[in-house]
Amino acid sequence: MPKTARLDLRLDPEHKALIERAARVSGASVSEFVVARALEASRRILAEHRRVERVAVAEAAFERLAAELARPARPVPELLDQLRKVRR
Amino acid sequence: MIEPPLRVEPLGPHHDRASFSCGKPSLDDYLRRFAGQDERLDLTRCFVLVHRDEPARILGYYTLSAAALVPQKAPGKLGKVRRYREIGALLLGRFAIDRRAQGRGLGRRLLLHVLLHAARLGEEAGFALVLVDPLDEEAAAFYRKFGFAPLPGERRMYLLLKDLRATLAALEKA
Repeated sequence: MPKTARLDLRLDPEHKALIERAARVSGASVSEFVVARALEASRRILAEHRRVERVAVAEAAFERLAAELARPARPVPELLDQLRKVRR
Repeated sequence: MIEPPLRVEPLGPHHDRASFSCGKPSLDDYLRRFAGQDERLDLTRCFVLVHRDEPARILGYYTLSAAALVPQKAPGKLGKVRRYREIGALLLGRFAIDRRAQGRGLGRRLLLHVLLHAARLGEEAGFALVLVDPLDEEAAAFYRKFGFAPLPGERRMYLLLKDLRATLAALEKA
C-alpha cells in the first residue's frame, strides 16, 4: 500500500523523547515504531470490542432490568430447590 | 455438581463432535461446524461434559460469551437520561445434552455447574446477569425451573448475578 496518508499530532516533549528512545532501542524509525504500536493497539481494542455481543432489548425490558439492579439481592427459590436436589 | 467420573473441560481437538446428537439439529450443527471456529476467534468459549472412561465422547456442551444489553431506540423519541447505558451479561448461548445421556438429570447438573461457573466469573468480570435464549418452549420451561425469568416482550430469559450469589449463600447457611 502506498503511504500517502499523514498523521500530525502534538505531544509533550518528554513523551516524544521517550518514544524516540524506545524506537531506537527496537531498531526502528520513530514513524515505523509509532505506526506499528498504534496498529497493534487498534487491532487489539477492536477485537475486544467485537467480542462483546450487543443485544438490543425492548425499552420496557431494559427499564425493568435497570430497576431490578437497584433492588437488594434475594435468593431464588426455584434455584435453591434445584441445588438441594443435587446435594442430597 | 459435576463429579468424577464426569468432568467438564474446554472443547478440544480430541473430542468427537460428529457423533454428538441432542435432538435439535441447530445445536448439533453448531458443535460440528462452528464451535471450533468461534473459539479460535475468541467469540465464545465452548465447554464439554465427558466421562472419564470415554473422554472423547461429548455428553453435553455449553458456550459462554460476553454480551451487553442495550435498549432499542423507540423511533422518533428523544433519548432518555438513564441510569445505565448498557447492562453487561454473560450469554449462555448454547446448552445441550446428547440424547443417549438424557433422562439422568445431567441437564440439571450441567446447568447448575454453569451457574457456579458464572458466579466465579462474576467475581472478575463485570456482568449483572446470565442471559439465555431458549430455542423453544421446552427449553424455556427448563430454564424456568431454575428461576430464569423472561425479559418482558422477549424470548430471552435472565437470572441476576446478585440473586444467584444470594441463592448460593442461602444454600451454605442451610
